[in-house]
Amino acid sequence: MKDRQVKPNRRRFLGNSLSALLPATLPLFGNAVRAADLPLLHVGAITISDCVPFYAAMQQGYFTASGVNVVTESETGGALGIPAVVAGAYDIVYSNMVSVLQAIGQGIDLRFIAGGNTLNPPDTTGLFVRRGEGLKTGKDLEGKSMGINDTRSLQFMYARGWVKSTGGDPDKVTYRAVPFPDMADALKNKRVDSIIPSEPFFSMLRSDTTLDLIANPGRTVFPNGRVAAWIVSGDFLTKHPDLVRKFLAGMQKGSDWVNANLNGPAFTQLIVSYTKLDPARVAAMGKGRTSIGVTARDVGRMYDLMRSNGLLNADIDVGSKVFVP
Amino acid sequence: MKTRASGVVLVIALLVVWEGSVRLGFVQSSNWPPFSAVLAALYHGIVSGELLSIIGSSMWRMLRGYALGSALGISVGVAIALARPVRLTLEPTIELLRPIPITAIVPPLIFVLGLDDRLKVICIAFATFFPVVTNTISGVTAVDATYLRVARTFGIPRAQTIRSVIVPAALPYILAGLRTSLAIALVVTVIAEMLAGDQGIGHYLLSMQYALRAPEMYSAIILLTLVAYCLNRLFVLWENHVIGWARSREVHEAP
Repeated sequence: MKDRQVKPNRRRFLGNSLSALLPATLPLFGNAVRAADLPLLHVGAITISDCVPFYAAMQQGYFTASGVNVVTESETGGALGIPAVVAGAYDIVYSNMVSVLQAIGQGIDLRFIAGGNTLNPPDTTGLFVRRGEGLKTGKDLEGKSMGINDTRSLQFMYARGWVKSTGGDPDKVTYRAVPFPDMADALKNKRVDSIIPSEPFFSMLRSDTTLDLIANPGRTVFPNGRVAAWIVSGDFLTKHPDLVRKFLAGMQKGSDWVNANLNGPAFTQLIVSYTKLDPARVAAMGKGRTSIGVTARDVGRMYDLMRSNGLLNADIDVGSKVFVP
Repeated sequence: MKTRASGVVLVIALLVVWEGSVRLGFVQSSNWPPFSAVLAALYHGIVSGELLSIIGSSMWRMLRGYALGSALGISVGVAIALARPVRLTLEPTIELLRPIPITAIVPPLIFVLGLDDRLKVICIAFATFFPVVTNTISGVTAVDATYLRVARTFGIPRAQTIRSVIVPAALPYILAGLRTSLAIALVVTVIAEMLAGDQGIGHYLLSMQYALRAPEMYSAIILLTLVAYCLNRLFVLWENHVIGWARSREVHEAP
């Protein structure tokens, strides 16, 4: 990815051949050929509802209109996004802020260029317990266990912060790593006493009569916090600030599209197209307005939260890590 | 129950238990659909062509990695067994690399290979390589010295001795390594596809799990099981064809 003009590219080659051989049919291939002639951006997104502004921009052709040819591969887990950006396999990736700040703390030069989802209503995550066991506060959960997706993650901080804010001792709760799709089974089979699932599992479990939703630890601990972001390497930003701006222009239009179509069938159809969820499930999910801006204050709040929970020891000049277009 | 039928009966019984566990309410989870729903999903997946193209892309990825790993494993194995300098040079590295789980080397590999197919094919080749190389070394080392003496007496050139005497004599070992690697290659293919990218059966399994579509997920697993079973059967048939002589010799030489 050192030099995007020289790098051989099959699609671009095909595009060039087509435009050379078939000038008469060019109008038919108009968009495809144009996209292939644009500078290429490799973007790693996660096929979850959080990335919807990105997928909207892809579907609506906003990136092409802004002058970049975005090629995407989904990263199902999301764990490889940062190494991939550092290696140059991806130019831009979507990642949770905790992992990004930890990587920056290790001396890796990453920059925030756009914000991901925030902890605003309507809720997309919450704390569930089994109905009828009377667990309501952090104090009640002392000596009990909590299933979270990763024990060094955002959820870990939410869980601890919420236990403390409701009168419990965070150190007396056992935190166990449980993948999101397995959380409901783990709770119902009494492997854990509480769970914090995310969408689409969250909205499915809300209607489960054997469980109770007792809190939203995320919003309690980190109200209106921005928890994920789109990032690039410092090296990429220095070399291609123009490409980043074009990407952001496409993202902004994607975000506007989402906000304009929030309750329409086109929105549901878009999410179905990349998550493969049942349309009825998508309709049941909480849908909030999106915004893609990310500020030094957003990142700074996360930095402080991580420092106070022992997830980060390094000093970071947060302001220098946020790209201002 | 000494017939093949007893094996089939057990498989069917297990599937009936699966179906019953859901129908009778022993297990209630969106992650555990009845087997009949899985069969229906399998049917739809095959008829629509979706599952076949997904498994096809996985198989193509696997075969490339497997071929690369096997070819390297056999060549390096023969070289190590025959040439002491090669053994002294390569063996420590191989022994150090061998126990490393493939997922642990993916992040550093990304720096060199990126995230696309190349990464996955190399992961599969990496996993395939070790059983083949160790078996090849054992096989070549175990070649009957008489064969080598005969070859030398007849003045057969070294290269031809390797090709016509040593490798055929070591073939039972090499094939055992290849067969072990075949199963490993399939597993690593699925794991590699789960780690990155949006193609293949590994990615399909994860995305169906996150899409709350358990029947589709299990239908892919069942198809994978069937493909793995067929591959193994085909391999055994080929193995018997190629080294039937070794089996019959064992019978004759048995005391």
